Amino acid sequence: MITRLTAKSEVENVLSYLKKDIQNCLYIYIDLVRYGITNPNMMVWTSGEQGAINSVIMKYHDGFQIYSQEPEPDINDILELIQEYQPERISGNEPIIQKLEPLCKVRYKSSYGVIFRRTKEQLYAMPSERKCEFADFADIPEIVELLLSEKEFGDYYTKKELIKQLEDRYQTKMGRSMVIRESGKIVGHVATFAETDDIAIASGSVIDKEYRKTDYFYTLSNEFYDQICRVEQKAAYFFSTSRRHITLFRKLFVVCTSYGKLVKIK
Amino acid sequence: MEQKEKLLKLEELMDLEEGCLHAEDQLSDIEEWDSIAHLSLIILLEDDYNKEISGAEVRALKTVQDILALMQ
Repeated sequence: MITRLTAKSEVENVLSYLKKDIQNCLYIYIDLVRYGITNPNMMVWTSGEQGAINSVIMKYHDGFQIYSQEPEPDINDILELIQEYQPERISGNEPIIQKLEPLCKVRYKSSYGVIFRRTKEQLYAMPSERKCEFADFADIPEIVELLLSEKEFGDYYTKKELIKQLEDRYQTKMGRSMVIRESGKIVGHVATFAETDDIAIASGSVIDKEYRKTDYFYTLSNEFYDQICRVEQKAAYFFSTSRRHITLFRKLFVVCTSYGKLVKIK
Repeated sequence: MEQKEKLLKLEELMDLEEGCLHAEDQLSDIEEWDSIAHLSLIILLEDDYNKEISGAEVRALKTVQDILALMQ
């Protein structure tokens, strides 16, 4: 049975459920903490019988996040919501996305990646004089151009969608971007796309193709994680779908979970 | 280790197809020779060859042969 959350006490109950396994449901947890169910862009449901939670389904804007601690989540309940709302993106842990994939493959394509945790001890030992800075709201269109040049974003978002999401996250203090400029142009970017007081999820690490043989990637990365992990004492996580990046990061950082996405075929 | 095996390791590191790297290749011509490859090489040299090399030293490498010379 699917129940939409409407009361604050229900939210508390769901947050307790999620917190037991937070590394596997970071996005739902953070969005629910930050936005709550009164946000017009948020809808949250639980599936389960007699008060027990089998799975949690969250809709934020046009994307779904799904989480379950059960080895056999109630796929029919989840599919019912997918059919009703036709989300552009469906994300969740690899097992649940793998279960949904064959049932949604006509309309969605899948991709899988890994969520890593990074600590303040795990900075690259490569000091640099290059200046990094937090970006302003007005920089968002230029940041989006850079992000869309990367397959990881270009294949899944339109310019309009991504600008809207970044502006929303900037205004709600849910995310912020750090950049490197070259002659005023943004050529390197990394961001938090979701944050609470003690957790940050990083994403959008992109260097302009012209500058990929420079030290900008690790300079920006060092500066950014130093700020998040050491200065602000937050637990930092990031998601990667690139096979080459994952091979490298497995040697450097802590693997938290395997994660998957289904994106509507356009 | 034979040169062929070392080249194979470098091809894996840059996610290139087997057999497409050659000792005389200029690194500046290889798109995949980027900052991720730099870091991956630093770790490969540390783990497999017990050698420490800085980011500046990696960026100063010119050819695939320069890397092969470090892999011993």
